[in-house]
Amino acid sequence: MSILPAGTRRKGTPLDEVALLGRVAAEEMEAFEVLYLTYRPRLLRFIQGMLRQRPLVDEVLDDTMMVVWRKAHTYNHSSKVSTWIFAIAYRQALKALTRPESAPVLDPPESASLAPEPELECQQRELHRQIALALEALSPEHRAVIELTYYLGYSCREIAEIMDCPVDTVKTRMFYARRKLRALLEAREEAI
Amino acid sequence: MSGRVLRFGGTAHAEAERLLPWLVNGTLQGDERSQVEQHLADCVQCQRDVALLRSLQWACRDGGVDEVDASQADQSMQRLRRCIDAERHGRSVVPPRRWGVRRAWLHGAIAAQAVLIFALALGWFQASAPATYRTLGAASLPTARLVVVFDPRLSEMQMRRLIRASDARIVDGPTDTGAYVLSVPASRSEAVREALRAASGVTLVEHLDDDRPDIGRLDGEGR
Repeated sequence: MSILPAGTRRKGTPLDEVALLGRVAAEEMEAFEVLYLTYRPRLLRFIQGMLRQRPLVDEVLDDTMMVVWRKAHTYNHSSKVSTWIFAIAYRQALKALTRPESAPVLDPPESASLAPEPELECQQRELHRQIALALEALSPEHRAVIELTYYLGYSCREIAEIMDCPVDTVKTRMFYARRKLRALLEAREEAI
Repeated sequence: MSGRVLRFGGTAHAEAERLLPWLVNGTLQGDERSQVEQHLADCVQCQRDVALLRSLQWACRDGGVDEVDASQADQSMQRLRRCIDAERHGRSVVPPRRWGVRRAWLHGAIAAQAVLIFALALGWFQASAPATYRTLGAASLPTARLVVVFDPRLSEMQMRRLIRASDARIVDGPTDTGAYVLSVPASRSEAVREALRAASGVTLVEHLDDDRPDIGRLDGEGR
């Protein structure tokens, strides 16, 4: 299904997200589809990072996009469109976590490949695997701060907007998240 | 998570340390950036932290979402379209949930149904039982019966208080599903039902209509 109207955007041209959201506010379904496809991969990753439960991830994505559709007219240009959308996703994910069925069930990260690898690459991959395992042990809020910082590349102030909290709270959450991660990694290292 | 917000004011090290994550992701700017970079040049501990944060960054970027094919995105979009169309036509729509998510309310509904069915069956069964012995002088005030399910978190004392305030008494229960049958003065049964409905800690209140032939009496008490 082709969702981009002819001539809407050439490859490599930056998407004018504010204009796109304006069209969504005017209930243009084509604009909504473009926005959806643009954000789907990042939203999936972010929500999955928070919830660790695949069935709920799809639902929270749907819920998020329905809120975007309904509330597009309330976007007031005080933040980036992406910040506004991720703030919605964050709230929807937190809401989903209060459902009784929201126990995490995702498989643990795969163990290192059996194929021979150069030693350095192998060590690097093992470290990443250990970090991924340690991330599983963090609270959803701590994981959210880390995902927003390192997967999505947001500044501290933007994360505060998304999580609707003071900048100092973001720094505090990051501080505790790092401390816990470090402790978990050290414990694993000792165990090995 | 403790929820406590740390105040980082104080040493240059503490100030720099809290900002390291955003130096690593490249969003730190201006004075903050130059101060942190300056501190980092001389602080071995912060240099070690930066190395760990870089690994964290790589690990986060490395582990993307599962591959999502275009057809899956298409299906999701169609689902959203249906919700939006339905909404436009004035139907109340919630994005489709999976079975597991619906279980909570469904369990509640099934439990409530089970309570009612149980109460009805109990009434029918006991209608045929002989009445218990009563003295001739005993008062025979008309009574009505209510089936009530209390919130399991309600303490016994709170439950007793609610029942006393309703001028009711327990004549049956708890059943397997946690329901009680209360006997209340018939003249006040409607008021009691409304009061119990409004009370917190009561999840279900329904009349067991004594006049209905299939209900009969639960305990043979006179009317």
